[in-house]
Amino acid sequence: MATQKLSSDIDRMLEQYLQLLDTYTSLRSQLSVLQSSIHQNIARANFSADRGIRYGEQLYDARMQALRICRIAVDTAGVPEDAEPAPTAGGERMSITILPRSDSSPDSSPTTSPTQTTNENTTDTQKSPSKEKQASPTSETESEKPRPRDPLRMFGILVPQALRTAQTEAVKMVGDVVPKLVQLDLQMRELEIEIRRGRKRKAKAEALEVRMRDEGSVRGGAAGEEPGGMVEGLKV
Amino acid sequence: MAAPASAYKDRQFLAVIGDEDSVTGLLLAGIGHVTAPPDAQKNFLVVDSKTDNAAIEEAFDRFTTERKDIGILLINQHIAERIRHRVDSYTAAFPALLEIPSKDHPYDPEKDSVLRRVRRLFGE
Repeated sequence: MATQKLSSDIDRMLEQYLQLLDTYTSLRSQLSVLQSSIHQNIARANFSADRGIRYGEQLYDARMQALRICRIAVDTAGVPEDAEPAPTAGGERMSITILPRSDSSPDSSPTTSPTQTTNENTTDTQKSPSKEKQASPTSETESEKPRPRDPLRMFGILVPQALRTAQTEAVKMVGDVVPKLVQLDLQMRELEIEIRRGRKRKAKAEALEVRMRDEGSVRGGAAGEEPGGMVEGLKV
Repeated sequence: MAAPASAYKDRQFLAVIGDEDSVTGLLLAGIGHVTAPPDAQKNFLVVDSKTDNAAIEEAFDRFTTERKDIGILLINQHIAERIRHRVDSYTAAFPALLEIPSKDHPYDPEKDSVLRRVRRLFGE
């Protein structure tokens, strides 16, 4: 009976594992599509660029600041985040999100569509003096710290449309597909451990059952043999 | 997985080891970060045909072991293949490792570490 329960537990975990695997493979194909689209757009941008310009390592900003950061949190079932995570592997789940940095200004966020960014660029230049006036007296220390800015700017102001499209795709990939894949990987790892433990438990339970059955049959056999033996002994 | 959430709190950056176009794409998404001087440590490494495996291994160690602010490490699958022994022996949960396809080397499920684990689990 115990082995049956263990088997059904393992089957349930395997079912869950296969569902995760299915999601993983579909996300993988999404990632491949996005990556190839990004590469295609970068190649297109390089093709349309002026002679000698390549949108690559040469133009990277040496003081770039991350616009997107990842947050790792432990989701315990009904337990607050600050509390010590539950010791059981099944009770806790890591949640990974990649979000725009909170201190990054909205005008520098690359999540906006290309048309929006161009509009914002124009309004930005108009509004910038007043903004500076407001900011300068209060935050002198902040001005020393390099502020994150739109990564497209490191390639110039008038970048090809293909590069903007590549950026939109890259944002989608980093913000949506990558965290899901990482999370799935972690969930699959946990389940693998649980499945292996379950298999070990099942093997032990089976071994115990076999031993008990053998002992039972030996005892039963011995009990059955004894009277015969005695009869034989009497005959002799 | 038993470590508290505070252990992962500072792991906020993504790092990337990849070819030029893959790194450019990811930098466009805004993951690139260079720490303040004099260190000026980058969270990315551009690998080309001239980059030797020792440099890749060094970057891999830096992102996975030395730096405590990396949450996810993205690496091109064909580059991971060059340091496969290191990648396969890496078992820590964080920084999480994710192999991504590149321009010249599309995604190969045979080389995917997750799918290899799946095969091992099912006894192949």
